[in-house]
Amino acid sequence: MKKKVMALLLCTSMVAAMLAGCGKSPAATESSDSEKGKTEASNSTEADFAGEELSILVSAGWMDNRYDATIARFEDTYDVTVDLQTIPADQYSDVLQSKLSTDSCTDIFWIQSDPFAIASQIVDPDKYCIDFTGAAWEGVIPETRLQSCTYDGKLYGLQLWHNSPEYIMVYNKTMFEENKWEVPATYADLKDLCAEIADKDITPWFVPGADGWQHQLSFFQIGGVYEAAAPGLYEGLNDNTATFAGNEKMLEVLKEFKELSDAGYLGEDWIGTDSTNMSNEFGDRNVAMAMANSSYIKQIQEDTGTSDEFGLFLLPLGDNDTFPTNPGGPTMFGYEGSEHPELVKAFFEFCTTTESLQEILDNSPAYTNIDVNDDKVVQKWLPEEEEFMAAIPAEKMKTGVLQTSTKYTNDYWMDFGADMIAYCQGTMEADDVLKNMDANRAESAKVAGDENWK
Amino acid sequence: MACCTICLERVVTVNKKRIYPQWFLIIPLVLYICFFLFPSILGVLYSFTDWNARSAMTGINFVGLQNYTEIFTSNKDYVSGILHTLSFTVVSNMIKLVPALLLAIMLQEGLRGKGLYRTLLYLPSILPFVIIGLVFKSILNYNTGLLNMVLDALHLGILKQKWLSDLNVVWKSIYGVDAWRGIGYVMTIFLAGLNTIPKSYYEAAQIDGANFWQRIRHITLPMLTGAIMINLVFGITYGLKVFDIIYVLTNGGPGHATEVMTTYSYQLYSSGQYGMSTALNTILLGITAFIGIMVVRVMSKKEVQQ
Amino acid sequence: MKKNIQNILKQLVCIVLCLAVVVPFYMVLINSFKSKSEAARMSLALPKEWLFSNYVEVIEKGKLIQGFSNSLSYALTATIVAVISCAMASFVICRKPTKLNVFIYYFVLCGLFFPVNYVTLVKVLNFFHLTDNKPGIIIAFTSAMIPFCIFTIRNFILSVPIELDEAAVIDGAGPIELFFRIIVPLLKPTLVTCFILQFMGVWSDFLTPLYLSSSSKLFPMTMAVYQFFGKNKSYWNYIFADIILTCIPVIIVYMLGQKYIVGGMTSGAVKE
Repeated sequence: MKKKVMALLLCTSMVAAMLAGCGKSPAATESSDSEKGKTEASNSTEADFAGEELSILVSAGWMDNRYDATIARFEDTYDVTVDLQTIPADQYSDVLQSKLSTDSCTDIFWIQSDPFAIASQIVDPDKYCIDFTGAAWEGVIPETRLQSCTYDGKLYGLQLWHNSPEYIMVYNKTMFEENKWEVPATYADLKDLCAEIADKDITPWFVPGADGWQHQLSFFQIGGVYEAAAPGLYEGLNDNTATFAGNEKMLEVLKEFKELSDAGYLGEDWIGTDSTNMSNEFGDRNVAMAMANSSYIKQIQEDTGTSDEFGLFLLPLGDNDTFPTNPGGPTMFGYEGSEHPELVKAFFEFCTTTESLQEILDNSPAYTNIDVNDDKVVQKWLPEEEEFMAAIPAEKMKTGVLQTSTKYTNDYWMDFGADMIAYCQGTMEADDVLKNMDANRAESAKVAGDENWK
Repeated sequence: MACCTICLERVVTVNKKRIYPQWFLIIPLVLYICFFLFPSILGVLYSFTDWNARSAMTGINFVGLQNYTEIFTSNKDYVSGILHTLSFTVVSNMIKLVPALLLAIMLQEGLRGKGLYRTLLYLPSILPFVIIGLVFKSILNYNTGLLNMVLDALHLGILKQKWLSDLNVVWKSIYGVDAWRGIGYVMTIFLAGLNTIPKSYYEAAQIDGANFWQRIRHITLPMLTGAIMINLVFGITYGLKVFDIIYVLTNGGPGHATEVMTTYSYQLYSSGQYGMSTALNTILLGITAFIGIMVVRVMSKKEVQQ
Repeated sequence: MKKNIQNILKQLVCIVLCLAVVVPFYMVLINSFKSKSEAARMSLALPKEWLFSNYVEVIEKGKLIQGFSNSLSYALTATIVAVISCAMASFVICRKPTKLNVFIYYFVLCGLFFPVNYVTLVKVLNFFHLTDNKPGIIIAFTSAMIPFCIFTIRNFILSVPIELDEAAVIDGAGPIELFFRIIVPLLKPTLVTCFILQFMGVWSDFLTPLYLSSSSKLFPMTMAVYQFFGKNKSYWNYIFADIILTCIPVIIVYMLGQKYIVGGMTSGAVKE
């Protein structure tokens, strides 16, 4: 009897599902047909978007819930729906490439942009991107970020990102004060400090090596120091007259990193540890320092309810004293093949009003500011951030980070990280790590048909 | 089996066309050719082109075997990737197939709670890989992980390992997690096979006084050829194409210690060298198809002999 | 006595193995009731405070109801169509091993080894106007599981005695009747196994719908979990709650199916 009931249930659900599967789709196509009709109609009148659907393709982590309120308001204002498609981060670029190459992209798509990214990731912006040149919101984007949004003199992207110091050292200030530890300014200081901290059975510098993308930040974020040691290096790397291999400052930094790793200062098993539990480790006082964004302080305090205070300092590997300036960030683009380009334009305009910018910032618990030219937006800088940034001389803030200021470097982020770990485990030489980067970049340059590599 | 075929030919030959109509094949064949094989072959053809991230500008051009020669002459260590792939295939299958078979036999007999055990053992194969990676990275963590804590609690501290970063241990951890995930799946196929063996065979054997091992050797194993072949072919295909489990646990690391062919091809793809990546995949396809078809042929011969 | 000891040993083995399986699952389950940072510890401890609201939150934010109905319609339709049509095909391939049919068998088998190429698949489906709708996604799923189904089912049909066909034919049954009334009941364990394994395959595959649709309305349930992953901030409690909800349907299918696997083959039906 029981069996029969179950079978019956199963059958009913099957039939229902099949009906749903087959029955819905004609209706769906119908509605999209009627939508098309509407679009054509609205294109001719150029104002009424009612009933249209705006689709957005974005990687997990780029919009989070920050745009939710703004999108809801946009939907109400124009009587449209927004279809937000959040794609797993490691699938995103493949999915985007597939959608672009099969001419089936969403109305708006995002890329992680930097000054070279439009050329290397979108490849043919003329074909794929709506040209926004002359849009009213161009002035909202700060000069430094504009280079990640333009290509060949045309404006394509809109980058609304924060300007907090990214991936600098976050440390437990209270713990430092209690133990009379000093913030290190040089590598020698750092090493001594780590020894002291390790004596207390605390992990001096938490490095989540198993994430695969974090530990190499300690090499790339201090790009300024390589440029300072050999002025003209960035230019040389970009026109193929300089190489990573043999660069003494880089070798020095790698050696220092390995020294810390060998001494166990990065955690007993940093290579096998990921960042899942990082904020708890801070809250439990198992960890004294880590590389993170300044806003991470807020997150530790919120997550763990700790009453400890935290501070920031510059990563002292290679005796670095430069601030990691990064003009890159997630950036949105309009798709040239969109069925309703006017709606896309309306969305970009909508996002750049003071009201929306403020709303986006207010809904970003992880960020303390939004880097835009709009004085009316109320920023929420942390006192720690202001203190930290005030202490850095302006001339140390000029050089961008290595990964986004040199061509093709960022494409091999994960490879470099793997090589770096191989070096720390003694299965690879430091100079070979750098040589691999050169070889990989040459490979990319070849694909891109770069004149300088011919 | 052979004798059945003969009877059949004697009695039903005339009707064969009528009772086994060829149109039964149409639906699967059409779907398979149009929506699976054709796109896949088209995909393979890309391995003979210079398809890359720039192709939107330059178009895709035929380059012959250039991608293949480049793979075999490249300075990258693809050879170690191939070797890792092969050893993974052999080891992972051995540690899954044998225990799964024993388990299936055990759970086939009248054991209290066997239904529950079966369901539980199957559970791991439904977890998404991302979650398996997440959970096991936590369990295998050196300081805070469950495994090392249990070992400590049992006073087996000597056995503690850096499971995912020690070069001598990392493969074993991967095999372990892979078996954890895969045994239930393999077992399910074996169970289906065991269920097609008529109970009367065992009854007859029991009357003849055959012991447990004799029954396994002379009834279970021969009658299970089909299921074993299925598991072997799937296991080999899975092993040669292995990607996710390595990607979520180590992503080819630490360093490059656990790189396999697919992780290399993934890297090529993500750096925009689509043509090269497809070529590497095609080599893998060749190897897989060769081994797979060999297994099927050898096993089918065995079937006929019975 | 000896039997008893054996039984206890067997139970022990099973219990230990099941523990090894259950602990990680328990970890996922228990952490799905915790707060975000408590869940990040992934400990086995009970939550300080049971947050059942995690589930409500996940269902709402992840649009799980829509995802569930999508996943269910993909998995059920694709799997049923594939299993039945492949069973019919395998039946003919197996019973009438002509040169052509043997060739077809190996030809289909090759599909086991080919990797899916989404770019070309999208192009082909585009040609048939099958992108961006459910039938397209279902067809893609069905087609991809054909090699698996034909291979599996053919190997099990071999063990269904051919005398049954004769008997049926003598009784005047046509091919459809013979197949559905005689063969299918005997193949139940195999078909159900095939169904379970493929159902699970479709259920957990989020890539196919992802590449084949440009609207989140068509996304399957498994996609939802990625909304809770962030680069700097992941909601572990939501992730775990989502996983539990996504796993439940597959577990139900397995438990239902299992009854058929076990009870499927009646020893009396076969006389040798």
